[in-house]
Amino acid sequence: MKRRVAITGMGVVSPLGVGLERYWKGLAAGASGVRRVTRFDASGMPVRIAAEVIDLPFDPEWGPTGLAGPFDLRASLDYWARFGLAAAMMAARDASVPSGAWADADVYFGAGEGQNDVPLLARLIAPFASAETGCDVAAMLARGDSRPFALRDQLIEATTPASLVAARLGAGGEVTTCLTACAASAQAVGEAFRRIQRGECDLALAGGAHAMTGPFDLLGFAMLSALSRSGNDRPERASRPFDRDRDGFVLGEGAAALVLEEWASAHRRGANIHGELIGYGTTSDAYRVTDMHPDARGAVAAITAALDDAGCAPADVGYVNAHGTSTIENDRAETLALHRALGDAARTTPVSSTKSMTGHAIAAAGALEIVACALALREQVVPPTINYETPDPECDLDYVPNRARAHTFDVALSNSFGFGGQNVALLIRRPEGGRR
Amino acid sequence: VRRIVITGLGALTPLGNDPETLFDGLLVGRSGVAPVAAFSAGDVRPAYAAEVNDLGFDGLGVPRKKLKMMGRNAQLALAAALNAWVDSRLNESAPLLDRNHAGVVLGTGMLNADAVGLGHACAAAGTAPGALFDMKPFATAFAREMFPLWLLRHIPNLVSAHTTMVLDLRGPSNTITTGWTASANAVGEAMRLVERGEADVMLAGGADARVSPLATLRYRDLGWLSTRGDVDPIDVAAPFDRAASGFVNAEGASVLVLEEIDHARDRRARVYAEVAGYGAANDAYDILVPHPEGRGLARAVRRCLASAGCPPDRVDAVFAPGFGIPSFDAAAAKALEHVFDGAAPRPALTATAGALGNTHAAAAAIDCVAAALATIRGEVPPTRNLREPITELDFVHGASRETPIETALVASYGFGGHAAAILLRRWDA
Repeated sequence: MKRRVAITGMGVVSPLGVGLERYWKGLAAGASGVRRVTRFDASGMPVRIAAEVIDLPFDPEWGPTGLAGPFDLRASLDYWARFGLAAAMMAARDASVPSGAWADADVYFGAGEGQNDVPLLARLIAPFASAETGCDVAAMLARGDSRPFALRDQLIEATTPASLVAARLGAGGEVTTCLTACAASAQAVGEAFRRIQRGECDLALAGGAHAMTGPFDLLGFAMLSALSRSGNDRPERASRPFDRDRDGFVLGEGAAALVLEEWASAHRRGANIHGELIGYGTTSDAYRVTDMHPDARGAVAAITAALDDAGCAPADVGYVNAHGTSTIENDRAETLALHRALGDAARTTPVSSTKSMTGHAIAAAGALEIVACALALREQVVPPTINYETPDPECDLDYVPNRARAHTFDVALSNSFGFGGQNVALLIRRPEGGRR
Repeated sequence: VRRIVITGLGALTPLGNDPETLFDGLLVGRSGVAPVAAFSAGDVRPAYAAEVNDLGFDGLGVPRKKLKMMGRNAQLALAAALNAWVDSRLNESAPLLDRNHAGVVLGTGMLNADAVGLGHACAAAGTAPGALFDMKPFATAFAREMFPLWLLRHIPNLVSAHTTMVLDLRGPSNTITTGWTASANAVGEAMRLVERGEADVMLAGGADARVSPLATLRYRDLGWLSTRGDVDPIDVAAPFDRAASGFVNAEGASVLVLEEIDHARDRRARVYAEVAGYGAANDAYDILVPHPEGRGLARAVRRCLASAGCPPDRVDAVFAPGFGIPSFDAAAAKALEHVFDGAAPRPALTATAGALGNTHAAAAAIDCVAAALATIRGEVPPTRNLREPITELDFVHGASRETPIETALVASYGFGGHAAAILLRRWDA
């Protein structure tokens, strides 16, 4: 038996703004969150742009204080942990679940690790560095100034945001962090959805947080030739999914959280229902580390599985929030996947990539985008793909170029694909009685 | 209800690189601790760790180029997965296997930055000790000095994804990063995928490789790592002992093949044990230290036993989560005392970390291998270095104990408030 799953709370920390309304305002306006890197000197880097969160306000409820342990975490919590906590607390507040309900609730987060503190690492290692051996490790271990390093290093473990959220909410159920690269938080939302759908739990907070916007992240992805370089001088134009002249993605950051509840109990307590999750599919390409399968077989299988799970036909899908990273490879393969999975319906369904505006928040991207779908359903407006100027013959769908569009639709599909051939598709439906 | 059995085992551990050697080592109380081999530790304390020798990729057919792209945790995971795969003989019944219903869920953890590589970048950039850090020359030098694909070694999900690629498994896959309970959570998630019918076969377990200079500094400075130099290194790791002084750092990997029971029967697979229950919970207390009463662990174990329909007094053996960190051991002991209080007969407990050290995200999956073999052999390994237990619980120490084991519980507990438990039931064919 499949139970229905309601989304009763949402929270967002994004480069377009903090909170649902600012996020939606940015998406609907076709705003870009991509800027020159502000947090460190990126002038020596091949890529010098990112979509940073710039306006996370201070709210004592989002702070790390009030935990039980002896460690003072305030100075040591990295960006993504603060984003994740803020998004989760906003979602919990939005859902206004009766207090006490969290005690048995699950938390499922998609998150990578926090950022390495590069100046701190350099201070630790530089005194023992040499061109011959790299680092005199024995001397560093014996004499290195490691004091501030340990707590900081421990707190960049991927599980920190979810554990923090669990401690703050008093969520004593299953608290899980997964990392399926760029599909991670979509997978987390999907797995939490599945648990409620199958009766394994009744209430969950799901989402993700990531901030791969640090020096090592820019360098690492640039060295893999994954990032847009042409956009260094025109940051807001750099992320151009499905455009012929796209040349890589732009790193972004943020967090999104959703409160998921068994439908009947949410309805009974009179909860404000943002949307209904109705389908989830996840597959592996089993092909290559950084390339999608040329026939997009895993992506097709994930979308098909999500449709089957929901009992939807391709024509029921009214909008696709694409993975749409703005790399040559992804956007071509994803277009093919949509053709194969949706058939004729692909040509008439609007498809957009909000990464054109938010950049690519990696592990947090999927959750940010399912929230975008919920807001689009609420407003009956599909957000655009900005910077779409020149069509690519291999990308021949309706990408909602540059301007948001009023659109009557009930079901949205959100795609998320990750390095290593991880594919996730989620389907969300407008709640009955929503405005038309 | 779909039942799930274990039909293949793979383990790379400080006690040996196959399940039987591991279990025999545990039974006789051998230690896997030795002077650190991964880097030159000099006279730092600790200069010892429990490492895996020779990953044994010869003959497994994985190209060297591919191995070079992988972090050590991914290499460990792939070797353990391939060993489990061969052991399950699923490759011989390939036509029966629907690859869209087979996948991988592994637990893993963070691979610290490479101190030697960063040293090269610092040297090339002229990064001056003590001076204000200048990012520009460092970044330029870093891009020039580092292996161009270095980031791929640090992306955690590739630990699982490499296995999907090598074995062509196209079903669900996931990578769990919940710290010390990660491989217990991975086994639980994989079990559910089979239970729900989303997969027929799942490779589940975990791998972690944290014997590195920076991880050593981290754990030493957090006070979790033992720095004892007054006893033989093989006698340092003392789980649940009054004199416990911290964990001994370790690495390892373990992968189990989980299979739906009819799928296994149809191909006449060898069955090690049934996976009868799973439960997970969180302390919801603090992100670093455990709740003093271990409330998350108690909840996880109770959930696990309930899901298996097994009352506490029907548990025969418990592989307990204790690495020798006094605060964590005490909380774990309290939790198990709460659960098994009044159980008659009481289960026999053991902690493998006395022999293996803290294998982090791999620990619970390695315990699952040991627990599966314990149900077959009818013998509980001793807890190495446990002399004066901090609890009245019935810990096996000194020598192994022969006893019929119908059910073995693997309990897992760690930082972040994470707790999980898996119940294995003996398979009487």
